Amino acid sequence: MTQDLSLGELQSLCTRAARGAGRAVGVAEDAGHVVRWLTVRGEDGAGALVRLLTATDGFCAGDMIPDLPAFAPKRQAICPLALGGYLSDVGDLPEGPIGPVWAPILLLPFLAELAPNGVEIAPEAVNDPTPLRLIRREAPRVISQARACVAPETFETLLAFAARTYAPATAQSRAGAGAGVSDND
Amino acid sequence: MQPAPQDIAMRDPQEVMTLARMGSMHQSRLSFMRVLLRRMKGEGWQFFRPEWSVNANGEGHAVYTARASNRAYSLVAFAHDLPADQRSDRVIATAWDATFVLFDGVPTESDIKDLRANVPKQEAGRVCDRVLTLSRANRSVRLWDHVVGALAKGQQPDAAQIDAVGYLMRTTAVYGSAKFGAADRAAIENRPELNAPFQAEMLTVYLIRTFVADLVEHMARTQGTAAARLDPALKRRFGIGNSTGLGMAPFLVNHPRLIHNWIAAREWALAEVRGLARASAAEVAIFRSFTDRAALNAQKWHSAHPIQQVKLTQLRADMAALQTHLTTFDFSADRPWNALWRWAETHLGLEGQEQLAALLLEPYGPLIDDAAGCMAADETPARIDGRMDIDTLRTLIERIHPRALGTDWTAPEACARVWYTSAEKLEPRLGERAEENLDAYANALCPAHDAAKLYAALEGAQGPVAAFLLHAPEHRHTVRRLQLAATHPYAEIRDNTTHADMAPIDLLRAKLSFFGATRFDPRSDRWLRITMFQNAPYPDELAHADPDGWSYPPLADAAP
Repeated sequence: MTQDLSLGELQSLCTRAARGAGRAVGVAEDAGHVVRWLTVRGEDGAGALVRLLTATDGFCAGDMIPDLPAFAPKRQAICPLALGGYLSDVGDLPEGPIGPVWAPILLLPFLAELAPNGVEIAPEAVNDPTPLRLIRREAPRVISQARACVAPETFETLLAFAARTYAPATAQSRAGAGAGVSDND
Repeated sequence: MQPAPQDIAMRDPQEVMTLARMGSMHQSRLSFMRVLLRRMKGEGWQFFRPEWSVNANGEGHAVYTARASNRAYSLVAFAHDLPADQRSDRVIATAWDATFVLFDGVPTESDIKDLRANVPKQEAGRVCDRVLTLSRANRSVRLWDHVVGALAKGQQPDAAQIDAVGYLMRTTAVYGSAKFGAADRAAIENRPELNAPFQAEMLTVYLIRTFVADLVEHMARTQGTAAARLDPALKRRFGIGNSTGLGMAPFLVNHPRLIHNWIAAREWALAEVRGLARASAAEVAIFRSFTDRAALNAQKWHSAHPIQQVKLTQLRADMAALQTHLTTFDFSADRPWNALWRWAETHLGLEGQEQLAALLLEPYGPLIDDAAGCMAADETPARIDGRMDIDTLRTLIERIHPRALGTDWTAPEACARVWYTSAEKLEPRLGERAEENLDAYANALCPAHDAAKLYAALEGAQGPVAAFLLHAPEHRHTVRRLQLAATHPYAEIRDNTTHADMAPIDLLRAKLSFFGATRFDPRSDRWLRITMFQNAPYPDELAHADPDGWSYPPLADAAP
């Protein structure tokens, strides 16, 4: 049974999940945004994020950034959130082959504004992580979805990553945020 | 016909975006409740109650439909018979006296069946994209019992008791924008009637108020055949209460573009009025009348909390000083409103200044009301300009956060608090860093501290920002905020939101004043109660009422 979510719910869950997986606040914000961007265009952005977070769980951020100017991995592969963020910031597309990159579809939202019709990955990723090229699309991707349908295992994994950001309930933490027990006045 | 206002600069964000001033803000013509009522009145919305199915125990459901020119919205209300020991205002509550949704359109029987299975559970249920808001409310027990008892005997409730509380029910959450499966803001933001911020939420509360008045009369009728109906003038004194805690505070930090638009709209309106070359007799009369009513509001506004008692004393003194000053003030001078404002800056406290800022807008609807159309925001994150030079970024921090750069962040009081999210119903909470081990769970809700950390990290760095961020992603959110604040000066709170003395109720009050709330009544430094729509016309009165004139108590309510 797939989970029907509003886009806002999915975006904030993915932001939380990325944060729970150790990504920096701003990178996690990007993660939520890119999943939403992919989802409304009919792609399984949430599934791609789960693949990335699972494959890189516990990795150090510095080990997942690209080595410049070759856009080669420092170790095993490149994190698409780190790479996509950098390319978006710079505003340029690398011409040559790059990678390998985990869950490379997550790059696409970052690069949407860097070409008139956005960007495509070639070859279409089969393996993960994969080496790739970025090519300019001939027609833009069409928005086709107003809700998110997320596979149950994807949803559960996102919840589990997000849960790492929640502080365990304690009596001390429960006190003081409201009236407490009774609201009978 | 007024000549166009002369150029007066909007207030400096360093002055406006402080917790002390944000914690002194008042409702105004640009508050979202008033925006909604002006629209509903102007467009001649019609209101119906297609369903009422509530038994003698107060259990059942009702539907209230508001019909706009080309759409309908329905409040679906579920009434429950709640044991007193379950009545809690906390997010972690699991049962309420009444639960609600605002439904997009008119619900069918099958829709209501689905809603009944989920809405009473609130956060534990799921709703569909036809639902625009999800909310709940609890009775004000003492007043509820008094009103039902009086009406059942064929009498009217005591006005003094009504005024002491101000509402029969208080909401403890009104969730909108995609929460628990509800419709995304994106699905409704292009509808003119829902484009301004929080219009669906305000409509929800407005219709809840009608439901509550109907329910209290219904409960009285179940107790006696001679039951009276509420006198319309007394009935208008009932607003809807709201208990708001920490959950709302992060919003002010998490929505910088939106907050800028709210504050900028109000600051623009204030500057426009101050820039007017002259004031007509009619405009002055409106201002004087609203000032007297605001002074009465300050007298009738009570709080049991020392923080607010001090502020209320200040506000009452400010209003008295303003009224005295107005007896001799020369409105025929050039730019009279600016002269009055300049006087206030040196003679009134923050409460009085912010009250005056709201009052100056009252006579000038045609000039400033359209600013409400600029208060929504597209919150899609903007691309970071990674080509910005680090020197430029450094200058930006110096301009926006001079106070943060002058703060000793190693002092225990500077970082005394931790904002975090509890595993318990994901309730936002605020902890004491020294007492609880919470750093691993801290939410990034102190932009001032983040800016100071970034500034320190930029020490000795050169070149474009992009390369710096690639190696220091922990500063990415801060750079994004700073680049936004460069063009949206009111986006950023300039104070330290983790300081030992920081009171979250200041953040709550800023947001709630934009809703249009009145009678802020803090119960601690981190949660408060407010009143919404007090004295407002009910739907069946709106066609013949002033959609703005209700915002302060009528002078007829003054004690003899």
